Amino acid sequence: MSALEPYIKKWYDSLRAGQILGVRCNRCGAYEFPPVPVCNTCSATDVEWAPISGNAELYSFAYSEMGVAPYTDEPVMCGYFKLAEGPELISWLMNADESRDAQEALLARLPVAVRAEIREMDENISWPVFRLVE
Amino acid sequence: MKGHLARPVSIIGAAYTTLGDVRSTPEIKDFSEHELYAQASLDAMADAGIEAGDIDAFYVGMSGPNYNSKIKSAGPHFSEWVGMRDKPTLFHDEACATAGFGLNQAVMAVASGTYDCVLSGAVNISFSVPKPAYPPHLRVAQDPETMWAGIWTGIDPAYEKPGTGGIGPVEAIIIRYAKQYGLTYRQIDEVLVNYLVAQRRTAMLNPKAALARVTYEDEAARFGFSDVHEYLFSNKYNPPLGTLIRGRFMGASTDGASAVVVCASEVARNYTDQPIEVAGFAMGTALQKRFMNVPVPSDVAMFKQAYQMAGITDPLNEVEWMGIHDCPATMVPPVSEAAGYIEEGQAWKYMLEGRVGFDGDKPIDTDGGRTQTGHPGSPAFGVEVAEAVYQMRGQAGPRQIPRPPRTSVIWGGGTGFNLAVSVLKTA
Repeated sequence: MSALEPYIKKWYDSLRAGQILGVRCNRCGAYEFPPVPVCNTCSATDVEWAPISGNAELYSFAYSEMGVAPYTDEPVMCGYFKLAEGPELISWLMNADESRDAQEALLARLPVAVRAEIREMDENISWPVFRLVE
Repeated sequence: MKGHLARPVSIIGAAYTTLGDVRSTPEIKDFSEHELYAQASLDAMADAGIEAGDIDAFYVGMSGPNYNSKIKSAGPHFSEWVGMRDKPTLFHDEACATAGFGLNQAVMAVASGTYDCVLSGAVNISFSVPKPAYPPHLRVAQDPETMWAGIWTGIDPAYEKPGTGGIGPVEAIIIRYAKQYGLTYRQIDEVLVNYLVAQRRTAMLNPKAALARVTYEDEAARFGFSDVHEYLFSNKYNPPLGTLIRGRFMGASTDGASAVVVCASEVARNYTDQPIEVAGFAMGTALQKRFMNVPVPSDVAMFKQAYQMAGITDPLNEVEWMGIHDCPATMVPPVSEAAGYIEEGQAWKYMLEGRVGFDGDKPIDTDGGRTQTGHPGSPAFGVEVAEAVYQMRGQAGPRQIPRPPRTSVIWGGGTGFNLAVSVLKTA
């Protein structure tokens, strides 16, 4: 196994620079996102950095009354997303109506298309969040 | 039947990262716990010739996760970093003996038939901590007071902590040893300083020892000493932490990770030509007060159990390499003798005469040990296992002992105290 890079720092630095990166396996083509140094589909360690399209589907969601420390004390709608490239991610769903009725209506339509964008969470961290495409 | 494995288990891969400081050591610069654990684990898999898909479970050891890394129950955090998505894990903390317990638990899991193959690793970062609530690449310097307060939480707060400082047991045991064998304090100081100088020379042959880059002789000269011993006897450059324990007799704290891959011996050769069998092992406990005894009773019990399991009846002649958690170096004489590796009352002479180096007749910690190659905390035992594996395979490079050992024994101890022994044999 060759020497690893500092994956986490590189990923957050790239988000800060406006890029959403994952890694793609050079053996089976599967993506890992956020990036890790080994393919969880075929176990290969021959992976390389690759951009993510930002296209995804919302599969489930959870409404956090507690907010997400240390970034906000306000309630957050957290989405469970599956990227077009395959990997899964939890993040913020930015433009959903949080009322119970609206949530039930959204639930009936799952999965629905969403699109990633980079949000500056605070002075330290940027993070990929998602919006409903409609 | 008690004390016997239901089926034989072998180590097929072992590795550890460069031991240094993630804030400055180039090989691990800007690594978090995740990258360190992944580097050691993926290196161990590569060493074994196995891929993650053939491994059934992964264990993650970490000393003081709450105060060091601000995490808890964190095994799953590392799953995808080693290709083990959705697979079972165990997250555990036995202080500096953590990796020994991880290895032994992995061996039991395979021997029982629960799994065929297990990855067992450990990781610690000591010099820095994540900025609270942020991702782990954003780090701040570890506050020494907080770190030491965290380490002391390993001492029983009910019946021991009010009565002792942290150095207590590891100094008490060498004072008891001195009493038992009629040694003066000055003799003990000479033994330990001699050991340090020899171990620094060894560590300089180990590319993973990022903190050992100059000989003690050169370091002494830089501070105006023509005699390295006088340099290491000086209270200014080797400050006392007790009466016999000096700062440099302790392990040199580092960041790092280690990992081993074990599997059923019946399939080991599917992966490697040189499997190393875990022929015996044992675990024990010792409250701090038990270190008034030389040997420590639980050490005696552990070596007896491990040797019985491994079929060793004459350790003095059968064991050919020993790894001892030498933080501090005062543990080497009592433990090497408890193991029967060196005759009772003789280990101090072997250390004084330089006979425990890789070119000596009783090699101990030929990676350079914790005082010189570095002490990464929970991965320590794994570093010693890796060195044993490399020596047994004849792959230790310039540190290779002339005839690769056929039987090796590793002893580890971690605040609490948690104690572990492993006996390895060339399969």
